[in-house]
Amino acid sequence: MKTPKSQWIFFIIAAVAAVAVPLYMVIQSELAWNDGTEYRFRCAAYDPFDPFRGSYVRLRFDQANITLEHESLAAPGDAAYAVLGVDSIGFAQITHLADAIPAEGDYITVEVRDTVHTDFGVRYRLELPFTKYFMEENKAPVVETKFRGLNVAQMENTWAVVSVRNGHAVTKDLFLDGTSANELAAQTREGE
Amino acid sequence: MANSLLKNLEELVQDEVITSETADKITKWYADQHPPREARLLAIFGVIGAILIGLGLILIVAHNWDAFPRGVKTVWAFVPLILGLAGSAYTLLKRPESVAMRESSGSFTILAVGVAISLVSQIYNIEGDLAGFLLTWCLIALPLVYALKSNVGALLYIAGITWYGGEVAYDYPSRIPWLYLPLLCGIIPYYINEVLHRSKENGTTFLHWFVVASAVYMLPGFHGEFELLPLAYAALFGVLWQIGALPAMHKLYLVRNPYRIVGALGTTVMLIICSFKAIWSREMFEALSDYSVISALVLLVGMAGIVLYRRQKGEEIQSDPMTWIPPALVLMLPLSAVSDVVSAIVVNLITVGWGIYMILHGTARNHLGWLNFGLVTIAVLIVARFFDMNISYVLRGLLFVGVGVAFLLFNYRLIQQRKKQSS
Repeated sequence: MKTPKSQWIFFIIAAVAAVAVPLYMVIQSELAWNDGTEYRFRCAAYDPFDPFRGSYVRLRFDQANITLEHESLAAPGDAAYAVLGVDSIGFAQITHLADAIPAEGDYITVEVRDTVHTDFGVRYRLELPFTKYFMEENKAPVVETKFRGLNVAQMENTWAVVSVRNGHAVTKDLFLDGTSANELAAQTREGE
Repeated sequence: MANSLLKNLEELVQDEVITSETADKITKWYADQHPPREARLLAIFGVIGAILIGLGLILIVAHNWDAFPRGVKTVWAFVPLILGLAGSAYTLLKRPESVAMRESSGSFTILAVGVAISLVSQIYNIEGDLAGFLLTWCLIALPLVYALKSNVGALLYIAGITWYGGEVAYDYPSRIPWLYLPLLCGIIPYYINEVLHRSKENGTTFLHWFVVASAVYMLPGFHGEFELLPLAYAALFGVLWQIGALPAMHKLYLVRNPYRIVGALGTTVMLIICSFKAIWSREMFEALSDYSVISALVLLVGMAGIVLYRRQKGEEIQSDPMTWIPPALVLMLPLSAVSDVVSAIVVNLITVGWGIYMILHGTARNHLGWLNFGLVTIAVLIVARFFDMNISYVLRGLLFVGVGVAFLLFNYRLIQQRKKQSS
């Protein structure tokens, strides 16, 4: 029995797609990793679990709750383009919410969760596209415990290094009170 | 069953009950119906093995190997995928007739696709919700199902799109899972082909159950007002029942035909729910633009299509109450604008009628299942009325005694009838 041509066509479509999708993800991420602009996003860290991709540290960014003077057209549930800038002490800051891909400057795609009008402008609750930092399964809980042990000032000094290129963002590292999370987890295990 | 019959064939020929040609024909018929047992076992174990290995790989990947540099991890992401694709290509090239090879290489490759995407998103901390991940995975899996004609692959696909739809529809912030519909349509040609050519295979039975379960699970994703959902469900169960009555399905045993089981059970449950007055007390014009009602109307159009097709084929459909109950329930909605009480009373009457029909149908066909299903329907309806009607305890008691007596009587009569027939 010979396999009909139609089945081969389906197989080739599947094979090309199966290789192309992860490969495209790799290429885009490598480009962002190597050529992207690095931003430091101030964040909090806690530890959930994903059934397929294992343990990660969930990051809660201060930039997920922002107040802007201007009003974006995006309604809750919509996607918007957040234009990135840097504040006076070098942390990333969302300066503007655009409805179309901005012509200039780095941007990330965010989801608008909620908008509230206040006396100081419009308050936005946003979902940033990189709230997960994957770690080895026994390291993620260690990082969470470490983070909970920090005092307020040290918590303020926690950030994720995110490399951004053409709207594609890759989280490269996580720093707790100035120390890399991977190093912290390794130190803790050596100390045990 | 088949084995004991085949063993008796020789005896039957010796005693001249059947001729040796007939015995040969029977042997050949069974051989055509069932693939050799060894081949089937090999297929089952092959698939179980492939799925276990695939799932094992997913868990190993989930450990997240920090010790390896990024490049090594990235290459490893592609290894199971390439192995799976190579195995599938080998199957298509050399062993396309082997069910075991097609099923196991198909299911392994589909799982390997998930491994590759997971590992890459893990390495680069690529965000992406579970829904998006499942969608990509399913879209790649679909052509693989067609390429390898893998039933297990099709089951994985249906499970995947249902999970995807559920994530979109029931996870915060919930949206209407429109994409689920074309995704489901994507597997239909494969499914129909299986139904037409391998209707008695276990794999096809599993496909029936998966499709029905997926549709029933996903319907609330397309609903608006929660109270109107029973109408949409009634229409869906009507469609399911009609599909179960199509020529290709009708001849199957009841267990192999979930369309009939779920269609009849579901419709009865919806009748009971709609027999409460509260369902009908609402503004009709608001309701008409509601997604639940729109879903119900779309499904009724589909149901009408199947009914017309069956009529064209010369089938007797007017006497089947399941042809009338779902549209009648939806039509109660305009009536409820006039009076919610009238709507509720009409639904109660329909339910009683449906119960009595099943009792008579069961008695006439000597079928204990239908008979008791009818009795239970009426009993449940009576219990339901205790909640929204002020009936005296004496009357309640009498109603229950009445249903109890009916239970005993009808069952006793039917069993006696069976005894008479067998003696």
